[in-house]
Amino acid sequence: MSSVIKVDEIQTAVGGTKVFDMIREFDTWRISANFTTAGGDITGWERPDSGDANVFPGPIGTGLTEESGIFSFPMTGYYRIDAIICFKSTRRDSYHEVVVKVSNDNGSNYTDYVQATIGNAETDQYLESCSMKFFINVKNVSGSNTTMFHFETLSNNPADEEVILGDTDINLTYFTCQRLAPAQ
Amino acid sequence: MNALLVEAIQDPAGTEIFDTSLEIDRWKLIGNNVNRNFNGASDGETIVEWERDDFEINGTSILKLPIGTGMSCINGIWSFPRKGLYKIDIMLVMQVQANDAEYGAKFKVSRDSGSTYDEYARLYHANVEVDNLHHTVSASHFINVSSIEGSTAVYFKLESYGMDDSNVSFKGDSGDARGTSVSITKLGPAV
Repeated sequence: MSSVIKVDEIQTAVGGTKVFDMIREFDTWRISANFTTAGGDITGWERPDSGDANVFPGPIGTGLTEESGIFSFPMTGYYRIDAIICFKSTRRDSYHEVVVKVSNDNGSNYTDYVQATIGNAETDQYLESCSMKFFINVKNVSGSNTTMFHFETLSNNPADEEVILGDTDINLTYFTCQRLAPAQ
Repeated sequence: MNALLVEAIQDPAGTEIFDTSLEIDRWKLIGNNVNRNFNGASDGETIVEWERDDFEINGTSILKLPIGTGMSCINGIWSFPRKGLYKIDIMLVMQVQANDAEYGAKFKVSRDSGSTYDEYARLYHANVEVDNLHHTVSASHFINVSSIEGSTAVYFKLESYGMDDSNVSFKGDSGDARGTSVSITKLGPAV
C-alpha cells in the first residue's frame, strides 16, 4: 500500500512556521493581439484558450482575476511570476520599456517594481523577447490592503512604431504565475 | 530530526497535491557544426543536437542530473519519465551577423505521441545591422503531462524560426560555458 497522508498544512518542526499548504495555484496569461497604445496599462489579456489550452489547462486552482489589465490574486500566498515581453520596434529609440507596477492598497497607488527594456539603433524592424522574473508576497486579497499588479508600457512614441506583440494562438507576450508557499 | 516517509500528500478531500517523485533535468545544445552551434537551414527545422548537462568542477558534479529518472531526448524530441505538472525553462543564446528583422525559435508541444504539434510559444530576436551581435532570450512554460506512453503521450521540441543558415546561429556548449539550454522541473502531480 502506498504511503499517503492527508493534511491541511505543514509547519516547521521548530517555531511552527507554515511552509506548505494544500493550495495549488498555477496560471498563464497572454495578450491576445498586438498592443499598440502609446503608453498606459497593457490590456487585452487572455488565458491560452485554443489547442494549447490542452497543454496547460489553466488555471490550476482558482486563478488570477484580470480586469482592464489589472491582476489580483485568488488567495494570499508567496507567488512567483515569470513574464516575457515581446517588443517590436521600427523606431530609432534608446529605450522602449515595460514596467510591472504593484499596489498594496487595492489599486489606489502603484509602485514600479520590475522593468524590461529594449533599444533600437535604427528604424529597421527590431524584435526581442525580454524576460521578467519576480516574486510577490500577497498578504491581502480583499479590503483596502489588497495586492494587485499590472504591466505598463512607457513608450510615448507613435504606437505603430513601438508595439508589444500578442497573439491569440501563440504565447508571445505572456506570463506564468505559480504560488510557491503561504504568505510570509 | 522529524522526518515523514511518504509517497504523496493529499488535501483533506483526497486530491493529490504533492508527491515525492522528484524530476529535475537540464539539457544543453551541442550544435550541429564544429563550433557546437546550431545553424538552421530554414524555418521550422527541429533543433536536434542536445545532451544532458554534466557540469562538474574538479571531477565533482555540480548538477548531478538527472534528479529522478530524467527526460529522454531523441532527435530533438523530449519525452517525460512520469506524469506530472512540469515547468520548462528555455534559455536561447544566439549569434547573428545579418540585418534580420526576426528570427528565433518555436516551442511546440504534442499530445498525441508526436503525430501533431501545437506551437505554444515563440522566442524572438532581431538585428538591425550586419555587425556581429550576441543575445539571449528566455521562456518559461507549464506543461501538464497526463500521459507518457501510447497514442496520447506528451512530447515537446524546439524548432528554428526564420533563421538564415549562414548568419544566424544558436550558441551551444562552447567548452568554456554553457549556451542554449532547456531546464525541466516537475512541480507536482498531473492535473
